[in-house]
Amino acid sequence: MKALIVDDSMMVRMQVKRALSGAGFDTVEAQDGMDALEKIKANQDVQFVVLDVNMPKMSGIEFLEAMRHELPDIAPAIVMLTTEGQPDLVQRARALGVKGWIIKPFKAELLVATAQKLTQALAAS
Amino acid sequence: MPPRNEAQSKILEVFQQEVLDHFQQTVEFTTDKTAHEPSLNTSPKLLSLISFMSEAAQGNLHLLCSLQELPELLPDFKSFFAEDELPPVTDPIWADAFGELANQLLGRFKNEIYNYGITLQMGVPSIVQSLHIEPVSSKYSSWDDTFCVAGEGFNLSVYISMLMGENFELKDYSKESNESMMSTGDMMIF
Repeated sequence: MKALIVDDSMMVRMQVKRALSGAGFDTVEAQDGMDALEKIKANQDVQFVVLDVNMPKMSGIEFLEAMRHELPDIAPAIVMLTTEGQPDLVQRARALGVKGWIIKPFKAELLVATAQKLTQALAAS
Repeated sequence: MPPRNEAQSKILEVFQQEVLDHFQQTVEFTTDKTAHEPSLNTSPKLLSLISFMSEAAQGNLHLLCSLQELPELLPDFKSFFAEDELPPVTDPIWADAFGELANQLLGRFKNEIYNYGITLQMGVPSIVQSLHIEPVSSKYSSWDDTFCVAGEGFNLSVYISMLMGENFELKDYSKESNESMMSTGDMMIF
C-alpha cells in the first residue's frame, strides 16, 4: 500500500510518515498542493492521501479540485489532517470526495486505524 | 488603558485558554506512547502578544520563544527522537516545528472563537529567527500602556496578521448546541 503525505510542515510529514510506515505503508511526501499534484501523477498507485488544507502555492482544497480535473480516473482514499474545522470547509472537501477529517494534533494510532479502514474499503469496492 | 470591546476581550480570553489546553493535550498525547516522560515546566516558555489595531480586532499575533527552550515546548516532537539523536536547536527542523506549533495554536483558537460568532481571517505565519528579537515596545505605540516586555532571551518569533469581519454579533456559546463545529482532536469519517 502506498500513501501520499501532503503538508508544508516537515515535522508533520515526519510524524505521519513514521505512523504509516509502521503500519506497512510505503510513503511519498509533498510539501504543498502543487508538489502533491506532481507526486500523484508519478505515483498513480497511491491508495491513501493525508492532506493539509492551508499550504503555500496550492491549498489542499485546490489540490483536490486539480486532481479531480486532471486525474479523473484515480480515486485514492483522502483524509484531511488540518487545524481547520469550519463546517463549510468540511462540506466543500466532502463534496470533492474526501473520506475523513482529522483536527491536529493527531494521535498516530487513530490515523493508522483510519488509513487501514479506508484502504480496506477501497480495495473491497 | 485603551478600552477593549467585548470581542477583543473574548479573543484574549479564548486564546489564553486554548494555548493552555493545547499544551495539556500535547503532553497527554505524548505520554500515551513514549518511553521518556515529557513535562512542561511552569516557567514561561512561550510569550504570546496580541495587538489590536482597530475596534474590529484587526491586529497581529506574535509568538516568541528562545531556541534553547523550544524543544520543551514541543514534547511530542522531542519524543520523536532518541536522546542522542535530538537535532541541535539550530537545525531548521525546529523552526519548522515552531511554525507548526503556531499553526495548531491558531487553528484551535480560530475554531473556538468561531463558536462565539467571531470569524477570524489569519495570515500566513511568518517565522523570524535572529540573535535577538525585541517584542512590541511602547515607544512604537501611541497608546500609553502598550504591553512592553524586556527583549532578552527571544530569538524565534512567529508573526501572524489577524482580521475580524466588522459585522459580527457576539453570542453565547454552548457546546451542546453547536455539534457541527469540529475542534482539536476530533475526527470525522464520511
